[in-house]
Amino acid sequence: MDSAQLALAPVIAAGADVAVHLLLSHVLPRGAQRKAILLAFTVGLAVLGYVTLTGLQHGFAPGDRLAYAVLNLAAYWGLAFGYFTFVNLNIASLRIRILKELLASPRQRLDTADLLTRYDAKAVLEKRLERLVDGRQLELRNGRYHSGQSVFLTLARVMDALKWAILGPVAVKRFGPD
Amino acid sequence: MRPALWCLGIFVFAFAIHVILWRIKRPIAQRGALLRIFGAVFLLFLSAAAILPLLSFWECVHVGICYVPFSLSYIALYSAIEADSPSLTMVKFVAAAGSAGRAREDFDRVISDTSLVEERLKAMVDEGMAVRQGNVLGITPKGLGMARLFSAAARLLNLNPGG
Repeated sequence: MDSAQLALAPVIAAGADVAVHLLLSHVLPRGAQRKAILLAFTVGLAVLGYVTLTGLQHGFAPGDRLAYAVLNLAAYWGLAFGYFTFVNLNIASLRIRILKELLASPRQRLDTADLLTRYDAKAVLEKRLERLVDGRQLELRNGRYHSGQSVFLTLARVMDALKWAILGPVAVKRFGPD
Repeated sequence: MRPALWCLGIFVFAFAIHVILWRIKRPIAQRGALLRIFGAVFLLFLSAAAILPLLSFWECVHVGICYVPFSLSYIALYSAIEADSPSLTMVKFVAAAGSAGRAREDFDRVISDTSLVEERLKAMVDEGMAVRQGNVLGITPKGLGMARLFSAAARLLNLNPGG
């Protein structure tokens, strides 16, 4: 029974994460998605801690306890990240937005020239800059953009390292100060 | 301890196959190929676990519960590796300027006029989500399924449309 409880703990925690997020999506204002995702993730984490620790009470060596705790944390992170990605694709992905527009359009066809006009680089750029400033990843001071919190920058460096390893050094975009 | 080591081992194994294959020749439908690689490695593990007494039933379930979402998360994350994410590019661009920062016009140099949308349209066609005939973009049954899934999720989650 302990093995089953331990194995299923990340799934139970992820279920709690999704349920709380669904609830918060309707309770909190529309713009508060980040808060809803974070709160739901925290509730899921608490559920994971409880189910894992009660499952590890009997018959496990200290090393095994640590390994199971790390494994369950990794599994929960994987499930929660998967869910977050799914939600985020709905919010930020241009591809998903175009697919939804295709679904809603007459005869499910769109003119690509029209798409290129509507989603021109300028419009996308403005929207992204606004989102980055709102999310405090960039700071706008005296009409110039400066680095803000380091979350996105760290993520960008991790992506560059993965790009370098998988696609080769040519795939990594580098910028100078000018 | 054993499920943790097996999970890590098979993930690293699948990742290594992916890196080697990509360094030789990158497939056209990259995410489909990733799904096949990570899926095949998991099936291989399950077959080995069924024949050899490697792990108990619940230990195998535990490996799967960690390996499957981790693999799917990686595949989802791969789109940011495959194509430059505009947001991450912009953050890197600002960081490279140091304390001087960047003016709004500077960004026009890094986000080119049509590449953003063109890159995504090409990826949609490559992944079999859409078909393109001249200036007309149509949707495939696979794309239709995705569009319906995401539309339903947006309604359920009370989301604003993105892009």
